[in-house]
Amino acid sequence: MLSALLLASVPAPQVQEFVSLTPVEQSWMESWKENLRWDIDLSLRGTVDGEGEAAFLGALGLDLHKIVRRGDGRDLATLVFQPYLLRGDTTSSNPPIFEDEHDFALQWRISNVNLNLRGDGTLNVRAGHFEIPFGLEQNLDTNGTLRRTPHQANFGFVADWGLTLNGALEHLDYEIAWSRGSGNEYQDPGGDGVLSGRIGTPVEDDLTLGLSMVHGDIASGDSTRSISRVAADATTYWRSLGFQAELSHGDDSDQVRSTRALLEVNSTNRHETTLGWVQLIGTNNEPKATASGVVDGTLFEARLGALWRFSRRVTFSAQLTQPLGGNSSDREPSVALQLRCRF
Amino acid sequence: MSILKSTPRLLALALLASTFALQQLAGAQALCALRDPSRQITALFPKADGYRSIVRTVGQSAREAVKQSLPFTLHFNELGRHTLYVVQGQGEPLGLVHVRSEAGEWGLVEIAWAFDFDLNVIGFEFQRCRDRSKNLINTKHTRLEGLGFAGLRGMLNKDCSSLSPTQMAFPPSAQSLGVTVVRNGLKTIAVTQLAWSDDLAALRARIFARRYLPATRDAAPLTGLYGHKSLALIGSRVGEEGVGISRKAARAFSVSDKNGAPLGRFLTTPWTFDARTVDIQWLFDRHGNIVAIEPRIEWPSAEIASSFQELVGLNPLESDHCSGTAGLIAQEVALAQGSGVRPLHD
Repeated sequence: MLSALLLASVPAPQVQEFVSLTPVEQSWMESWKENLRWDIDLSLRGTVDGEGEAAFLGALGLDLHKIVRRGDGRDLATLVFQPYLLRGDTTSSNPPIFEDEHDFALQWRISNVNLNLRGDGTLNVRAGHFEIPFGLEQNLDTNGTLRRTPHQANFGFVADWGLTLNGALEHLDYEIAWSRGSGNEYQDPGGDGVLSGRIGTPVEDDLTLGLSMVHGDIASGDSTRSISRVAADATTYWRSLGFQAELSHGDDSDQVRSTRALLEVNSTNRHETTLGWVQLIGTNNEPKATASGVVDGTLFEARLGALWRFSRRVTFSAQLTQPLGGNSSDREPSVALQLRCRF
Repeated sequence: MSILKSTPRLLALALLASTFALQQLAGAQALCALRDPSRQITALFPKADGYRSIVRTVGQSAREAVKQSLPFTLHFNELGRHTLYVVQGQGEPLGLVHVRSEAGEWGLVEIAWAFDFDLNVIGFEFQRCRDRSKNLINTKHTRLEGLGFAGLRGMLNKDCSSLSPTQMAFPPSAQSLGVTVVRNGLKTIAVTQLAWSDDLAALRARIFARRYLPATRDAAPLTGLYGHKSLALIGSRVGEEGVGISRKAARAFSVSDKNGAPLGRFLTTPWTFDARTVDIQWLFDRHGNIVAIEPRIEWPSAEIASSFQELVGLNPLESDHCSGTAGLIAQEVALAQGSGVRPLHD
């Protein structure tokens, strides 16, 4: 059969003029959708404390991620854009961006452009609104979750507007930033800004160690306060257990010397659809010799939390916060519940 | 108490969101947490000076397709938008990197796999793994280099739950993680082939064309293959049934230089003969002459290989020497492009 087919002879056809193949054209919308991810993120959080006082925080936002290419085809930059509309009702634990007890606010979560200068991720420049590179938060990303690092307690906000140099080297991750110190709002708070940075061993190592610093002026009401911190953080795993620690120390407004420690043990299942954590937090605020009217204060508290991921889109989490003592402890235990949907 | 007033509205909004959530494809994590595996890419390709991200959707159809070829499939957390990295060095594509996760004994294991453009393993690096036995496993020690889907499949037993007894690719204390690694490799190859098939075809076209036309810089997909007039002409020449080419699966690419000037065309046409399917790769110059014909894997026989090789240098629509089965196939492929023997550009 093969020989017969090979021996078959057919004369060359007459050539006719007709439409040729055409390039596959992309509309501007298709070009924009190239390398684009986006989700709508909705979360509802309720908190009840030991005195029965309830508080709610609702958040509806856009979570957008887009990779832009350079002329030679390599990645040029990554754009992350996360504007959120928040509704806050009656709580001191909500982000301090609400003007009233019952208020709406626009929150900029992570919204920046990270320019890949060398093309291989070793030297990048980030501009926009980013998490202050400090401590455990650098590798955890707790934005919008019940699980927290001491970021908010240290600085009053998680993210700030500015510029960073960052990258992943063979044995080192680094990010060094200058930011305005204004937190959520893009405004000049009047100070000299904030210099911050963290260097750490690679996040994929068995033991990740990091050193961080922050020094500068951050917004505090209508004025600024100077702040300085140094911190060490560590993360390691044993089987399904994760262990994390952060110790920070520094001055607030030349009035208070603050030391803050966090220890966390967490556990997950093999598909990582559930996560449980126990955090122990200790804070000591010690008045400096030059301070007047500042009271020595210590606070210890424990947080017991759990997260269930029902599907790719729906997550439920709960956290119990229990004060354990300290001479400045007038806080009540509280329970927080959060439903988060992405669609 | 205004909280209580807000609650029904917020709950209604949550319910609405959940309803949408059941129908849309969204990621499980905040997108700011996405990190490129740049350190792993450098380790896997020391000559790399950058990479190109290609983001595609891995959806339910991919989940079903993986299920057809493997006794396990993707976890719901693995669906969504994912990235294939085309690693580059001095302007040339060096290989592919794709990261996929696998449920390990102590949590998810994320592995960055490096492949050549035929999806054979170049190497792998752990991006996330709580299992300490990962330190006993690397590309050199596991002898996975060079294996494709069939090679990896042969390392596991029938239900992919353990290593095949004849395989000693992993140290005794890392057998459990070894199974996870091989399962992950199989899944990664299957998903990459499914979700990035068009991108892989364009990359293969560029690489193939550059071997014969060194000025090649780009291969862009073309549409209009097997148009109505082409089909009518092919029908009159080689019959309605054709000569065994899977016309729906055929693809065409325009090959151009760094200035965008066309150099020719690359086509890939699956051809079935005696129950075997061969993916035939064609390269035409801008005058319609055949520059190269090669199978993606191998020809069914030396005789067939020879009959196709004789066509190199000929224009199937002009030459009287394009005869026999190979000649008929060449004529169909030329006519399918619809350009006749006209130069692509003068």
